[in-house]
Amino acid sequence: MFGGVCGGLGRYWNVDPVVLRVVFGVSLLLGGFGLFAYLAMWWIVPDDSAPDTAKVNPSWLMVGLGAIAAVIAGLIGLGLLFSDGGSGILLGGLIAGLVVWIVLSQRTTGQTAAQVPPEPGYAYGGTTGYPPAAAPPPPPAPPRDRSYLGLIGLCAAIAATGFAMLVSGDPVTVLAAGLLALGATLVVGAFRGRARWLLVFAVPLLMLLAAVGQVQRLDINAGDVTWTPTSAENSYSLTAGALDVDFSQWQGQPGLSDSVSIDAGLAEVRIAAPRNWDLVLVTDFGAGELQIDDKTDVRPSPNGTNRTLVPASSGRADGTLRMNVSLRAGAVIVQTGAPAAGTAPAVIETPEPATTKDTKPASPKKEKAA
Amino acid sequence: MSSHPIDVLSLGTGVMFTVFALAYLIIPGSMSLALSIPLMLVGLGVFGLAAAIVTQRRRQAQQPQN
Repeated sequence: MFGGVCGGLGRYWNVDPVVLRVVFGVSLLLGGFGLFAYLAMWWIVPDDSAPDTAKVNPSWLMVGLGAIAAVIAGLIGLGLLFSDGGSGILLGGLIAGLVVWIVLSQRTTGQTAAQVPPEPGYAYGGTTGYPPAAAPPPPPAPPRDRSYLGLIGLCAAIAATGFAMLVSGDPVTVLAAGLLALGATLVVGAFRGRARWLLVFAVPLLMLLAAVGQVQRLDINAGDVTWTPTSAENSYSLTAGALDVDFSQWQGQPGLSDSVSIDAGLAEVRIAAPRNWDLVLVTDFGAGELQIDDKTDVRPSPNGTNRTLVPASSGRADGTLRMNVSLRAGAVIVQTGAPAAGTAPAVIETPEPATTKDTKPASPKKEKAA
Repeated sequence: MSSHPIDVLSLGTGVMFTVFALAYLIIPGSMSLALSIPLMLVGLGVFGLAAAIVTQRRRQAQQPQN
């Protein structure tokens, strides 16, 4: 026991304090959200031994804590909405805290009215000469009608999920069917019965649905791939893996310049340069390196674009091929086909002007050679 | 199941989850992870706050009668 908050709240909510201690412990690990809540309640919740324990209205306490949690959830949600990402740990802690508040606040309904202490001596009509009589036990709170709506909604969600599995094998459809049943049950519970606790299932179900939907949205192209660019197919996208770029089928028009583009995530891009073409590599690296003929190690400028000229290995250039390589992480390895190590072509590095940085796949439109 | 005053939290979140589910069912690809999770949190926060305020006002309205 640290501040006795869990014990006091457990007695107030009629919940085993061990459960609350576990919840606080878990929320402490998930970003430390529980620590602030614990300290706040240690400060706010009145001490059992103090004579003025009724200073804080329990309903106000609950509403205040709930409002704080709700506002924080909203702010974090807005922050995630308008930013590129968020802390999953904080998110998990926040959701856990919010769900715990919702579940526990439901248990307090109908209890606070019965906890107002009666005036001492009232049973004796205010007569003097006797010590104040012990307060009569408060009248028991009227029992709440047991609501089966939540259970019905949960069973409906399970049934809807199974039905969707039979009709459609799409996981998004299956999960959305279950979420639809839970949402509809919550709407019904707003007017009749009680089904708030279904939020415990609806929140993670929506998160799972969003994650599965996101995976389906990704057009993942991964593996060890060989790409043979042509004038008609001059751009390629790879999520992860190794990409061998083979220019054996390349039929650019001599005297003109042309361009190809590669957009890769985590990949190793191996390029066999065309022999009779000057190759202008425009590389945009997140993290990685550029190797030419296994000997030249060109470190791209961090978070910048490099422009590297690799002259034709034969010494005679039919034209200039511009190659835009965007890489999140990995390496670009260029084989020029030079006959001997001593005759490896020179490498010229020049910074790529920001205004000419290519961000889109190259157009097949021809342009005159410089 | 007995009727009761409108539960703002259940109503708001119920409508929210129903809309999310219909969006995923009817318009595939319309929702993304970066949109649905923040919107859900915003919804939980807004409806939770509204429910807390409504509950408190109802209790205040009942106290003079008691």
